[in-house]
Amino acid sequence: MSRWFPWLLAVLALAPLLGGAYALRLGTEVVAWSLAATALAFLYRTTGLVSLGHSAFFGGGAYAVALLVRNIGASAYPFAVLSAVLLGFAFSLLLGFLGLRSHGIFFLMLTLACSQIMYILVKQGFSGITGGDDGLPGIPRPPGLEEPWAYYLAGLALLLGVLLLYRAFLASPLGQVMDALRQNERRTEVLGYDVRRLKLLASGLSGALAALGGAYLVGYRGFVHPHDLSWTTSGLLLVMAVVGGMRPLSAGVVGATLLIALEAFLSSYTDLWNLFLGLFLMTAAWTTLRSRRATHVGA
Amino acid sequence: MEFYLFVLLNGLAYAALLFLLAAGLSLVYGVGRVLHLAHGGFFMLGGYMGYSLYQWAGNFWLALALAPLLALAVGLITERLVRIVYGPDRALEQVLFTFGLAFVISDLTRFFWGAQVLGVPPPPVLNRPMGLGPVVYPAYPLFLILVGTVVALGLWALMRFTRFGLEVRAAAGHPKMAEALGVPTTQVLRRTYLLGVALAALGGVLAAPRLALAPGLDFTMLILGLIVVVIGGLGSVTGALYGALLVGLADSLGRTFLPQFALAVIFLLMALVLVFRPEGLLGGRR
Amino acid sequence: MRYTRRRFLKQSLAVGVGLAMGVRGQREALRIGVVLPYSGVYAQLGQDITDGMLLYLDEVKNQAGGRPVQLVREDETADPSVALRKVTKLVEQDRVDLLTGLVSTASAYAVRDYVHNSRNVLIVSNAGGNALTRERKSPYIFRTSFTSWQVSFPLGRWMAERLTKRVAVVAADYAFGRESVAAFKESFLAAGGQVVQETYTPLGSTDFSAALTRLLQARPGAVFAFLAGSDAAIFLRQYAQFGLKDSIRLATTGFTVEEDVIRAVGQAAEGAYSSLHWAVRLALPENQRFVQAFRKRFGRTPSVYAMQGYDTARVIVEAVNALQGDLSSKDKLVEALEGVRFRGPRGLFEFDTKTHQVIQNIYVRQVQNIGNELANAVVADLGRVRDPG
Repeated sequence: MSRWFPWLLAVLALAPLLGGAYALRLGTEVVAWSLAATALAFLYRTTGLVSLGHSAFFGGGAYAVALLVRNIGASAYPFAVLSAVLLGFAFSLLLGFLGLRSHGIFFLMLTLACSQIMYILVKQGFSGITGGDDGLPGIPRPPGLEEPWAYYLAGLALLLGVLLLYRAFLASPLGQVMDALRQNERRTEVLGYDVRRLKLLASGLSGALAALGGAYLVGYRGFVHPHDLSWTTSGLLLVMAVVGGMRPLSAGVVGATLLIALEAFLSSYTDLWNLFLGLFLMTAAWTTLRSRRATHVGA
Repeated sequence: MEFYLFVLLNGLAYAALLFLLAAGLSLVYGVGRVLHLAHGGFFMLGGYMGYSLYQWAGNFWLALALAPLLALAVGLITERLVRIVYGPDRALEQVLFTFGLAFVISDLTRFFWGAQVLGVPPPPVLNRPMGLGPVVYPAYPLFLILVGTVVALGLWALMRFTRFGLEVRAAAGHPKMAEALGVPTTQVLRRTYLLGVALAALGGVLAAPRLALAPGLDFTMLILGLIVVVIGGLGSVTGALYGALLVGLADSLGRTFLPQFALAVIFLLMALVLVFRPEGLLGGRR
Repeated sequence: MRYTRRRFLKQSLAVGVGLAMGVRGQREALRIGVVLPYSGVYAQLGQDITDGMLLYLDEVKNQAGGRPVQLVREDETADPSVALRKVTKLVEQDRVDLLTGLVSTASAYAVRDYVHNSRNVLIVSNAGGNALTRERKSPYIFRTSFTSWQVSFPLGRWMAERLTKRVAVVAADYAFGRESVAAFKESFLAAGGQVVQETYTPLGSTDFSAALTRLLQARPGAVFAFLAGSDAAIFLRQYAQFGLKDSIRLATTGFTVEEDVIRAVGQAAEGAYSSLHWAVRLALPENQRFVQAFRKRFGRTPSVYAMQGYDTARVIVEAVNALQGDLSSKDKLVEALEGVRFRGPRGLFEFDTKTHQVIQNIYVRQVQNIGNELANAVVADLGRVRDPG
């Protein structure tokens, strides 16, 4: 897995730069979504928890940056991004706390509920501040990164950094404990590890990374919209992570690339692109199962 | 006084539809541990099929009777497909697969029926306000409450008194044990799935005069269905019933007193239930 | 309806073959980027607008300024992010000469900055948010449809004078709904009216029993409602089921009882008043021709969205004709568009040069059963309405 990954990354990096303005835009979107999808996969990898509410951090990070930059100015970017990441960490910590007793589908629905409440509050509750369901337009680019290719390269560097950190984390003692946590929570607890704190930490990190993805997205796109907080965004992130395999380092990147490329490509050719997307998802699930059956490991 | 009666009746009528939608979803999860995310699609499909049957026959009752059967035909096909992802430890693949299936059903529905808003009028006998003593209330939602009650009783009787019901409860309670005792779980699952599909489709036809048939209905109902089963506890008909009643009434109260935030109220309700009773109101038997 | 894509793929093919054969006088095709929803909740609007465009292009033999016209369609979906993505694709990859479309106001706002900064001409054929031709206007953006203010403001005074001064309001809780209510109240209150109850419902509601229960309690003289799509259909049907249809008169902005909604709810919509910049039974010769031609070609009654598409195509063709097909100067194109003026199905069509918003008549209509067919007939003409900008 880790053998072809650097090559994939190189191809991913070069292609948009050579492909023209539109390809560059798609590439930038892929980077933003990769960060958030990786966050989701990370959460699963370390705790076994599946979240259907990551749009709260992805969209929330976008809104945080948008509000700060809009009101203070483009110079506020470093501060805004840092704030978004910290807020993402804090709220995700809170969610993790709520989810301590929860698992499986119940955690899934809890995350959905929380993100949907946030969505409704942003869209209808505080529409004076958040721009309601028209969102907030006119967000400038960060100073020094106004050029699309510069912004994209910065994103790639960020993504690379995140993935390297992820890999180092997994190899570290803490990372190994997290792996154990996912495989068997009971045993890990019995072995003396503070399962609660580990889960909370993983939760917080996951939210922080998703918020970073949202911050990166809004910088490129120039506006923020409640749709970034909707359950369709959460669902898309989850699908990306799952299609990418959930466990590998590259899960988020692969999933994001596939889904965005598919969506962009298909919808230009047919109005029934949801159908083909659906067939793709069904096939992906089927092939995942077949490969799993071949490498079944007892827990 | 009349005002609060209306709020109650509105909630109960909505609960009836939610129950039909959620009962199948809950049972399928209980028996097969499959979260059937395409369930909302069958609700919508039932509605659309009801529409076509009504256009063809001109009779609502006929449409009501036949639509679930037509939906069953589709269900037979999808059941064979969903069988691929049956089994424990496959939650992620199930989500992916049934979600993909939901998209397929969604687009195929739009392909066959188009994107415009379609409607079915209530049958003439029910298409009028009805006098309940001094109070006047539309007849159709009262009919929905009646149907909901009948179906709930029917399902209860099915679970309690028939062999199939026994098998379902056994498989939902402890699948391995049930198999060891000779319960044909794959068959039971298949029948449960089809029952769920038929119920959802029935709900869809009944909902058609009350809602509007348009793209997006399937996912709206799916979310509501998930909320209902999670609140009530996955795996049981009673859970689906309690969940539907709770959500229906909360929805009615929400829409009446906090109209813009009605949906937020429901999500908050679900979040609270999950925080204090993580397995749902009736859950936690595993 | 679903063969339209095939049909103009055939047209494009014909154009391509014509070019390849070097047909005398044929020049490079005029490529128009069309961004409309072709999937999801608003798919029908996208289809209607497209059909309207195709009808007009057919009438001019698909020629503009001596050049064959080619429509390049992209799906707007319901995600403003995707709308922006598609617009950038049309401009940067497909190299279209101009852009048109956009049903959703949020999507229009999302692409506004990009369109303005890249100096591409966009002709909005639906999105009605006020700000697009007010605070966020751009010399490169034109709108052939309406603003929420334009459609709702005139109704307020009419309602106060003709129906009642005690009104309850029900509206979908999103920007367009709120803008419509605000505009309505502006003139309604100024004419001495009183709003006794205001209820906002979430977009995509599946049940209006609660709102209707509240209405029964408020006992207004009439109801002003704004809802769209499936919300409108459910609301109207339940309005009738609660017995309100025959007891409390209903006035809405036209979208709530447009032809597509009438098709869905039938009788339940009868008697409802509404304000809009067009009506299918508007007795103008251009309109009667349009409605007939549309029915013949597409087998259904046109809606206001189809009419907007029709006029949009006309605007583009007339501007390109004025330039004789030469679109090398964006500023000249803007000038040509500003000068477009014609009598169309809605009456006199012209742009406000300050805001690039269409100036048009607003009509009060009522859903009436004439000759065993339910449709909107005009009961009052409220005159020319120009959005203040």
